Amino acid sequence: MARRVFLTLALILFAIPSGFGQSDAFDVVISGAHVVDGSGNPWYLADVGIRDGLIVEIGNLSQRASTRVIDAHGMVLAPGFIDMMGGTTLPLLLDPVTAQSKLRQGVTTLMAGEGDSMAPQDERTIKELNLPAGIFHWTTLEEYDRMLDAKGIDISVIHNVGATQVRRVVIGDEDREPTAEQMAKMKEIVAKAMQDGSVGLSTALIYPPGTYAKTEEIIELAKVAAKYGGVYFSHMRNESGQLLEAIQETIRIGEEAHIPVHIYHLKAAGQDNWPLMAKALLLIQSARDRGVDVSADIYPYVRNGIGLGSFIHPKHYANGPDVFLATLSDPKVQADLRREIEATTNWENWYHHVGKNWDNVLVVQVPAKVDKRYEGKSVQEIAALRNADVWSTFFYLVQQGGVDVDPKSMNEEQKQQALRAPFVSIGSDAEPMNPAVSTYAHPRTFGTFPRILAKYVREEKVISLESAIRQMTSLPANELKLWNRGRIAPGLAADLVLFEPANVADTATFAKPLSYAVGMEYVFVNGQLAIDKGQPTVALAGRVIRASR
Amino acid sequence: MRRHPKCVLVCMAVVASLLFAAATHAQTTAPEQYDYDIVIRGGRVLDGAGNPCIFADVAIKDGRFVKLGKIQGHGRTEIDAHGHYVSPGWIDMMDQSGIALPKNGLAENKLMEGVTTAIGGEGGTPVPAEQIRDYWSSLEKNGISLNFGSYFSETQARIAVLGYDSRQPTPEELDKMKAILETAMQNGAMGMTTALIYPPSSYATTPELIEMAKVAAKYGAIYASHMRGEGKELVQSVDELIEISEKGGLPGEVFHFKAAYSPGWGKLMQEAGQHIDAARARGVDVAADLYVYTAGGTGLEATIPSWAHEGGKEELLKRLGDPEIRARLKKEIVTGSPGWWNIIEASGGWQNVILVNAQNPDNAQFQGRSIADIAKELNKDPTDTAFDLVAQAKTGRVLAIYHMMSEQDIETALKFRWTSIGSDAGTALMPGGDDALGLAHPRSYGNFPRVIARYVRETHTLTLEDAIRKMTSWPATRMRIADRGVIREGMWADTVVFDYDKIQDRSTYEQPDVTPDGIDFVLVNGQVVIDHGKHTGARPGKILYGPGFRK
Repeated sequence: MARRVFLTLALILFAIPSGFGQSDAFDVVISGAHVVDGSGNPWYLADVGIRDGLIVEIGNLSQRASTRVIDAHGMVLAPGFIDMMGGTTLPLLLDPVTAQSKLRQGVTTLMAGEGDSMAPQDERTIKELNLPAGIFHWTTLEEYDRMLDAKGIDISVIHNVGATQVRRVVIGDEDREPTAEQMAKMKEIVAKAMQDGSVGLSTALIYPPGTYAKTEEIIELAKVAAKYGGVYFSHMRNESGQLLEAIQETIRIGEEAHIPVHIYHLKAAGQDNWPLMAKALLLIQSARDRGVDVSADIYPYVRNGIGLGSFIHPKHYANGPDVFLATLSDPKVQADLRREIEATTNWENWYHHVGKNWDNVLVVQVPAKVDKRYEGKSVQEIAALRNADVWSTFFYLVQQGGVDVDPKSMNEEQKQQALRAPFVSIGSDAEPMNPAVSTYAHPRTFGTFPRILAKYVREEKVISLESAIRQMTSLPANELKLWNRGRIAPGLAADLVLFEPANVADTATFAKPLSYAVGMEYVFVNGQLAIDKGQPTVALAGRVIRASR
Repeated sequence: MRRHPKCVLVCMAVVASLLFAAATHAQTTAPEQYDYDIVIRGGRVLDGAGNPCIFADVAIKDGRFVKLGKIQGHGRTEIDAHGHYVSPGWIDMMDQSGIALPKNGLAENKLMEGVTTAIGGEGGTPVPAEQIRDYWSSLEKNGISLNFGSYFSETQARIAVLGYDSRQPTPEELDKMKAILETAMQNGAMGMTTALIYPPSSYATTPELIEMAKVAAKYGAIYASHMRGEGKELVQSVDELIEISEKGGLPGEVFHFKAAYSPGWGKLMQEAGQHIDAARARGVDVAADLYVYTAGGTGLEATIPSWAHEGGKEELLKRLGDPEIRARLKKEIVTGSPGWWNIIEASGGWQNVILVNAQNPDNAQFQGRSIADIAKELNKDPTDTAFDLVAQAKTGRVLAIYHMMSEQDIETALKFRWTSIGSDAGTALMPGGDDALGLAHPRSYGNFPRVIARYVRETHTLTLEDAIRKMTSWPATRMRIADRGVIREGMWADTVVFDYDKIQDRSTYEQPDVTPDGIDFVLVNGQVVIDHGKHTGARPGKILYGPGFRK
């Protein structure tokens, strides 16, 4: 329906013959756009010529031959957006349509990996992916990337190697320190992933078994990534009361491993902790000032998304989740856990973060065995549906495993503060998704990037359009060392988005999240139209980007 | 203040020893053993795009940046930039070197303040349109240390056809003027300029300029102007430039954006900026550059109403010698004169007009003093004093400095996202000399470091990233220089290595010719031109041709 509105904008499209087969004819000329080139510079008016996947010329190209000309007067041409937290690339392998969730936001490149990663795998870990039998199998990043290459993908991707993934393959899921041999093995695996083109090492230090990794262990692995010019990315150990300590740990890893560090979805979760955002930004800036390369990304929503299991202290998962979840039916265990949740705060206590209010905890995804009606309802509402006590409902849901929730844990002010920091880029913290076969998602899955442009640029004027584009393009390109993307300049990959700034918008909400963003009229991936007049082309022009060494 | 982990002295010693080692090493080792010509290690790389610095090594080969990141290989020359910033080379959006560069291609004052690319030509190319290619060739043949491009002035075309007459061209004359401009565009001029306060440029009407601008537009070039008024009439002048840009169909650039009118300080600049914002909002690509001093400098003849200049200098001198005409001119200094910008009023009186170059040995004693002060000593009327100084010039144009701007307005202008930095100063004919126009103004030596030292480090008007953007990628974008202005693989390796804590302009109105501190290395097209603050004598600069250039 929304798409029809955009068709009425009636963009004038016309093709002119490509002359007499001159080799200098363009594949496409985008004519008369306001070029917002990915730097923080103001727009300028120009035609942009594309050939063989690259931006080849910028200027007055009106007299030049081109296979196709797109009249872009009144529209903004920007580099394709880079999603610093693109989840995983597995959906792209299983269902190409999932790329639409990114493309329709203007995302042309995503980075995958957050503690977990698609490589390395072993027989046990790959089984847990529940892949269609016999079709896909791999252990290394090199093997996985080759599969993606062979399959063809609609956007470009770059992988990091997850420290949790490495730990699981070498140590398992238990809370154990690696032996010297295990440590050597982990370093070897990281080195191999870096050689295969991984952009760096990632951690997710709130999810077991990632939580079991001590700082020193991470530093050792980060040193390996550093040797290859890699970057360290982290979902930090704490994003609430101990936010500053967690940032300090991240900075320490950067300093001791001599590696640039990037903080995933920077946030100050929990009402009491909201004032920490300003302090966090200062802490990062002061580290930068003394020469530590620290950056961060955010998503533009005040609700985060986590597993409901995270509402219980991570120590209980030390022997693997299955062992622990089996004990959850025991009323005594429930009572002890409830006391711990209600009374202690020396851990990442999400119940406290949402103001001790189960109504602020929205269940968004439940496993197949659980009543689908629970999706889109708060834990409190589900308790009412079940005609049960809210705590027993909570324990029931946790016990089912794989229940995802969106707790309302942040405020608008901290989003604005973060967006104004020059080193903050944008990440969706969402994997590619096909809405037709999904039941629920965090709306960031479909709306993150347009929401920045609609809400924080157009409506609230928190940052300028040019600055927002910079934070979605050249800044993340710098952080990922993608020197040939993230900018509009001759010689660079033609990843481009063309939109009307007045019309671009997210439509996904927490109530109705499975809804594509609108307004991205044309999206080019490596010089080919992936979205043409708002319609997908499934050109599969994306590439697996291997970090150059 | 930012703190750096390493003592600068140690750092510099390391640099020196590395350079020494590299130099001695190079003599005994085959060049192919080096992976790169130059590697700049461990610096804080500002990409020019406005992004926070990247902590990375930068490798240079064959004149271009070839790799960013962790560089494993070695350079024939290694520069240790730990604790220092590495910026794209600075682009001077309003340079005055056109005449001086053929005489002194080393351009020491420019390079030592970090300028690697200069866009000259407020008054046009120093040669007529049809000789521009020869001019480029001779610059290339002699060699220049920075990259250089030049505008062509609409006034050059006007003078060629109309001489110094104060009248509008006939359609046939306008066609001739257009043909001249076309020649200039095809010969590589970067755009069309006017300097509408100076006769005979001031005789050009807006419709004439629009017609001429359309020719430049056809070539994808830009229009830049020293506007008709920068004081009381600033806003109307900006509106005229917007109109020329809009109707001419090309980007418009305000040269040395300023509010030179003391009663309008704090208001005019804001208002002019709003007009540009509004124009940009409706799609007119207008922007501005500025120098960061509250005094401007130009010829002392600017104090004489425009009509008196008609017919050229001889006519002017005749008029100044005619008691009746002189009396009328003196009256107009008070009452104003149509089409003339009253620069004395803008400065708030003769006490703020300082003689800097008398062009006459007998009057040289008065240099550095205000016209009011000189008048008092000579027991003369100050207006007569100024007129006489102009008339007594023997060797060229009498030059003065006018204190007519406010700090507040400079800060306001710097904060507009679309402003870039230009010096309005030319190459000095020798190190430590005045710029080639003979105009002693501190901007000749200090303009660019002053942006960082004063407006980033001291007043926090700009962030460092934003200041660098205004000195690099934004001017490159404005001038359609696609292969400079940012540090990225494949771009020409123009770069400045500077110490943020130490960078400091040292030139003042009293001592305008002092070089700045804190700029350690300047590279142009991958060659070291400034090495530890000293000019190496290298001349790697290239001519930058405008978009209409036909090979």
